[in-house]
Order: sequence, then C-alpha cells, then structure tokens
Amino acid sequence: MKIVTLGNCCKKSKLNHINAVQAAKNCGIEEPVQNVADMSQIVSYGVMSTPALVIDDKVVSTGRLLTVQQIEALIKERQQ
Amino acid sequence: MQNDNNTTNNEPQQLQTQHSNDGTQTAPKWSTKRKVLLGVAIFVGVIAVAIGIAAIVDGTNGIVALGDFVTKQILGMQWLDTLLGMAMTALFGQQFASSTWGKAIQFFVYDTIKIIVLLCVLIFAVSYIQSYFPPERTKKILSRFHGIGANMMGALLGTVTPFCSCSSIPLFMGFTRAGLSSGVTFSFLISSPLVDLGAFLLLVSVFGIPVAISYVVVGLLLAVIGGTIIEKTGVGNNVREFITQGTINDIDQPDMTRRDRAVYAKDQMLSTLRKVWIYILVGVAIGASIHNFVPQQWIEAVLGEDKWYSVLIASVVGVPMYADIFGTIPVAEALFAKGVGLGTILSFMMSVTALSLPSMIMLSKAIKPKLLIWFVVIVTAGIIAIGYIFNAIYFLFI
Repeated sequence: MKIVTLGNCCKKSKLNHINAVQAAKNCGIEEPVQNVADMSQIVSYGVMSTPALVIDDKVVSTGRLLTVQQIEALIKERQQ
Repeated sequence: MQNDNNTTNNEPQQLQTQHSNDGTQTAPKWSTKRKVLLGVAIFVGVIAVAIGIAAIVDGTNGIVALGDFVTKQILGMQWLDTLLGMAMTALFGQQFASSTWGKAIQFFVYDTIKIIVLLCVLIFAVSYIQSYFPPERTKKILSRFHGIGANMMGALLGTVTPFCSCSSIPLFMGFTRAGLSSGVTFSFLISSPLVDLGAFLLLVSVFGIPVAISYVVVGLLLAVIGGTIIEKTGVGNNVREFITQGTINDIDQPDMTRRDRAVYAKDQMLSTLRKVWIYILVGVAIGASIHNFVPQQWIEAVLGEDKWYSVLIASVVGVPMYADIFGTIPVAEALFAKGVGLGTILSFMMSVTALSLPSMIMLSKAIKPKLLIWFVVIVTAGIIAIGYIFNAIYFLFI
C-alpha cells in the first residue's frame, strides 16, 4: 500500500506526516510513507489545501490534520 | 422521487417490526436532509415567533427594539460592560471606576472578553460551514460559471472557502490550471480576506446591522469590479510560468462525517485563536487608549469627517499593516466613538485586512510584479472610493 502525505510548509503538514508514518507502522505497512512538498506536484494531485493524504493514488483527505487513529481507519478501509 | 416515496412507505413498517421484535422503542431513522430541514424550520420558527410577539406587544417599535436587543445585548454583550462597571465600582470605588484609567481598563477587559468569546463561537460555526467548501470543491463550482456571474460566485465563495495567505500559491495554481479566468481568481482573492461571515457578525455587534450589511456589499462589489478590471485589461495574464505549467485533476471530495466537521471546526477555532489573540490584545489596547487618552481634537484634526484627506490617510496607513479583521474592529470601534466618519473607518478596516506586506510577498511568488502592482493599485483605489462614498452618504445609516 502506497501512502503519500502532501505538504511540508507548516506545522500542521509536518505533524500530519508524522502521524501517517506512525499509523502505517501500526497497520504493519512496510512501504515507507512518502512526503511531497513541491507545490506544483501537490496541485497535480488535484489538491489545493494541505495537509492532504493520498492512499494508493487516491486523495482521501485534504486541508485537515488527521490523528493517527483517523489515518489507521482510512488505511484499514482501503485494505479490505 | 420514487426512492423518497419508498423510504417513507417503508419506514413505519420497519419501525413496527423492530418494535415487535425486541419490544424497545427506536427513534425513526430520519434522513440527514430532513433533519437539516427540520433544524432550519425550528430556527426560522423561533425567530418568527419572537418577531411576532414583539410586533403584537409594540407594533413596529417592538420589532426595532428586538433587533436592538439582539445587536446590543446578545452580539454586543453590553450586559458584560454593565457588570464590569459594577464590579469595578465595588472593587476600587466610584472614583477610580469613573476615572480615565478606570474606564480604559473597563473597555480593555470588556472588549477583550467580548471579541474572544464572539471569535470562538463564530469561528466554530463558520468553520463548520466552510468544511463544505474546500478550495478543491470551490474550483469545481466556479468552473461552471462564466462572465460576470463567475466573478460574483468567486467573490461569494471567497467568503466561505477556508483560505490563508500561505495557501495562496496552490490555490492560484489550481484555479489557473483548471481554466478559471484571472478575473475570477482575483475576485476570490480580494473578497477572501475582506469579507467573512465571522467578521460580518462582529460588525453587527459593534456597528449595527445596516453598517455590517453595507460593509459586506461594498466588499463584494470591490471584489467583482477589481477582478473584472484585472481580467479585461489583460494584466491578469502576468502570472509566473510555473503556475500554468502542469495539470490538475478533479478529485472526489473525501467524505466527512458530521463529527469530522465538528472536530475540524474545533481545530480551526483553536488554531485561529492561537494565531490572532495577540492582534486582538494589541487592537483592543490601541482601541482603549484611543477611547480614553487621545484627545478628541487630535483625531478630528487628522481623521475628522470634514477633512477631505482623512480617507486617504486611513487607507494608506492601513495598506502595509497586517492585522486580522478581529484585531481591527476594536480600533475602528474606538475611532467611531471619537467621531471619525464611517467611510474613513471602512477604508481603514478594508485596507488593513485586504492588503498586507506578508500577503503581497506571498503573491509575488505566484504573479509578476506588473500584476502585483496593478492588484495593489486597483484594490487601494477601490477602498479609497468606498471611503469617500460612505462619508458622503453616511447620514443614511446612523
């Protein structure tokens, strides 16, 4: 499962990435969680508000800082 | 339609089976839409009943008195001012409470509490509404409109789309790549910091409903006209190359439950509070000192209604300043009490919130200097024009 966090400009985005890494670890995902900071690339995902979360190329959250539990739930939803 | 009918027909049956199966009463499952409708109906009903009672008791005067009560006591929290005055008198004696310092302290405490309480309630409510209009969705809505209608929608959505100066670049890229015209993007960018729901309610509490509505209307007009000028003159094409190069996908907006929205609204409220409390304190402190220490003559000499240059000074001083609208209002409130013209005050508030050095620096990364200069010139000119117009027709509102 490929998990990407978008945005690295503010505290919220950084925290969102940390939470995603933790959630991926909790769910036993070995692929490293990637972070995209480049604005142009973020926009090409269709996202205009960060932090955002992408799982398997699908944008699952935009403009919100998610908690570890919330990200775990999103991952589990996709795993099934 | 058919589906709707089916559900309504099925509901009683389901209820009955549940009832007979386990013997417990379960609440009927209402669709979210109906719940929202019911909520709105109750809300409107309560307001209608209140207005009705007021009208029966005292005719038109009753309705005016009710409006006054809502403005002054609920939104304006004047009861708090009265209570604070009583507390000051009880604690420090009549003499101190009615001295300049006593009044300044009372104004400071009252205004700080009032603005912070209103800010929390308003930001929470507004963020909840905003969670329905993320920029990604706004972009999609806007691409359906053309011409001046698109500018109006841009200005309107600017008031409800959550947006801060640090997201102006991705927003710019997103809008441009999605094929939205520069005019629409700028209508959005002008109205976004200028007019928002929270500021509107705060204005109601300080200046009353007519002034608040006129602020919103002229703010939106400025956004529509400014955006149109930027597009029609062609200066709007002066954006940096990387903005237009590349693509953008439409995404399905991720689902949010009502709980998610409430959490989002709470986070938004806390982070806004953390960000703006210092502006509020500074704003209220300036307001309190204008209120009580700065002699009336000084203010009248510089910003007095009869001085033709008052609007110019207010606008030019306000442009490079950066403050949240919530920090600007106490200053405006104090100036207003000192007899400064309404137009001058509107110009000051608008120039402080719409244009600021940090937002210009951010924008300069996305647009070329020529467009940036035009943007600043058009918005400043518009704000000055609004000031003069309001000073001229001032008597209609007060």
